[in-house]
Amino acid sequence: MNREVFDEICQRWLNGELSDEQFAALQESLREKPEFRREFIRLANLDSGLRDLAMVEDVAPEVTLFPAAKTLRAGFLAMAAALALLAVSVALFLKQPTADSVAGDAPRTMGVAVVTAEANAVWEENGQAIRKGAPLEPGVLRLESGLAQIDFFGGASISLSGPAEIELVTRDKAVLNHGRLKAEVPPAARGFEILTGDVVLEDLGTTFGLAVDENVGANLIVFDGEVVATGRDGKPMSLTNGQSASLINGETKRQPPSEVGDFPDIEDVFAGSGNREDLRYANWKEASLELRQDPRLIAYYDFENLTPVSRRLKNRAVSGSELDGGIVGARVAEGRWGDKTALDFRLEGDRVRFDIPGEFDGLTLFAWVRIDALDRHLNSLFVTDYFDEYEVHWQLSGKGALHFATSPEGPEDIQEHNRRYYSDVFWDPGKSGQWFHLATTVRMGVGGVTHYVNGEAVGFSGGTQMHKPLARLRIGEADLSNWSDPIWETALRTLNGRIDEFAIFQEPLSAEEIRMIYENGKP
Amino acid sequence: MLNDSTDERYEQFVSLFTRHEPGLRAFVRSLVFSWDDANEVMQNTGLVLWRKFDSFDQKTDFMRWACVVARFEVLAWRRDKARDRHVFDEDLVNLLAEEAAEEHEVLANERRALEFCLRKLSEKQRRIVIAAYEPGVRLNQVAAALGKSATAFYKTLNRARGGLLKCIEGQVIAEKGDRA
Repeated sequence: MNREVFDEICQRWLNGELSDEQFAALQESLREKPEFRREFIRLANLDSGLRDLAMVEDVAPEVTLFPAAKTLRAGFLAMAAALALLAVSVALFLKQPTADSVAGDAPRTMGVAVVTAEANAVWEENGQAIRKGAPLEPGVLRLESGLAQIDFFGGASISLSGPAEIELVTRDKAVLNHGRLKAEVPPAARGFEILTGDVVLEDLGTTFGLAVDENVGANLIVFDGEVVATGRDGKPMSLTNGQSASLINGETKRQPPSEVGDFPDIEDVFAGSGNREDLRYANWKEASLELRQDPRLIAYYDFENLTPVSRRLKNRAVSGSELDGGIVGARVAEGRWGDKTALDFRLEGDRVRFDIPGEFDGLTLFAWVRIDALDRHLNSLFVTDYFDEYEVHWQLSGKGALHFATSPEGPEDIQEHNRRYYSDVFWDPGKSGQWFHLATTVRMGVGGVTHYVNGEAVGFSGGTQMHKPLARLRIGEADLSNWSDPIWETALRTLNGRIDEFAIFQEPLSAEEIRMIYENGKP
Repeated sequence: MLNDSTDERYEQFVSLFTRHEPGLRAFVRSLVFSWDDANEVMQNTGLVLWRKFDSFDQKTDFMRWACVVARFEVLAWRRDKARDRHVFDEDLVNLLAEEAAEEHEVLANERRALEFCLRKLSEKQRRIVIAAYEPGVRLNQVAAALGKSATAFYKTLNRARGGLLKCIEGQVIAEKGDRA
């Protein structure tokens, strides 16, 4: 057994987590090596000493319980200690309401979908108020005229053309009573269902159009992917790219695609409004829907449809909700465009928490960031807790450079091992409030780091150990725009600015890909 | 009924036992698997030490004597428990006991340094360590109470222990240096 394994087993022993095999291995190694016995005795001594100290330790100013307790009997000590524990927990919650409270203490809505874009949309006013960005509960929506985009929480999105009546049933199911819609269903939302009078359409990951006329029946066209239509006869009919069917009286019949007419989609919606900003937004939105399907993504956060009560930053990549982030403190704000939501980071506690397992041979990190000020020596973009071996820290230097760091040794002997790469300086206070596309690609080996600003590769202005090879990379528990569990107690790395898109890939993207992502997303 | 000299003897015992109890508990801790085991052995050891205190030669080292008694208590206890999963072999108990008793003064220095080193931890780490070492708590419950995943909690705890060991080493060396 080597030293590393032995240390690991000892820690598990102290935490009461040893398996039978590990116990046997521990015993074996102790029998064999005097230096292991010595280490073990020291650890037991530490363990015991900590136990003694924990009984009398004044853990917080507010729990200076009975100073005389040190001389009293153990029972009383234990009681005092129990009181102290209670106080510790309370103190931790009060002082750090920010860290670690992932997943929803915020009131949950019954929402199943949300309106994310409108063009001259007029809604019939009855039942729930329809506001862009506000969650919609199950129920009937009547669009008298105009166009609206509705995103279902299950991941599907529809463009609805008025006049239309649609009933939202669940986050993955709706009934189109009449009107036209174009649906966009990413793989993550597979199984999204639309019902008409008497036909069920199950979407298998695709784009399709559906028109329902109460008197005549329905027409369906599949633009891309596959839809299964099941009529009253219960026979499923599969339709793929370019195929069309009529759905009349519960029967599905194939027909030429020319029968079905036009289906306005999100881009037409904004073309209709004639607004350049909306067009840019729509253009990004389309690219974003495409991007989320990229199999190289570890996680992708589009920061869309955030509300003041959102506490979850949804991962839109196929890796799914396991990698959702927990929003802590940060406030919802305007993103690159008026209708796009972003998170605003400013206060010491503001951050989004992630736990992203795995080890990677390469990485791409990109984010759209509005930098308001660079107040700190280093300002966090995406920083793993502490800085254990192979973990990555992605930050902005106070001088205005992009900075990437990782170390095969973690924080041990930082001078010797920490690989740091500062980009050329690209930011100064004159650029405060502007949105920047920042990206860094990383691959193992020497010279594997490239920084990009607004789609262009930039050079280095400095660094340490840049000539040494990079090893594999890890993330684990990490913060966007902050640093939980810093190596140095006083380190403060809060970002002062906004982020409205963030992606992590497990490979370095090419320069051309980075440029395209910038082009598709520039404000 | 206690006469005066027994009274006096008892006071001597309490004074010695109190002074050496932390070291003795650390000694026992290095010979058994869990804290529950250590507490059980310590209780018996206290009783036996008092019962045998008459045979203790006051001119000799109490701690050495107590370690011998405690070692036999561990051995006796482990014979009862030998069918349990996690009990060290008799020869290993003997090895560890000899080496730990040999080192008891160094170990006492290290425990003294610990108090200083605990204050050198970050506030966050210190709170986590203290919370983890409260008597009778279960680590997974502490992790939950602090709103941490068990993995994250153990990671912080392990890191804190590593930091403490390093700091203690530095302290003990520094003390030696002072004296030199």
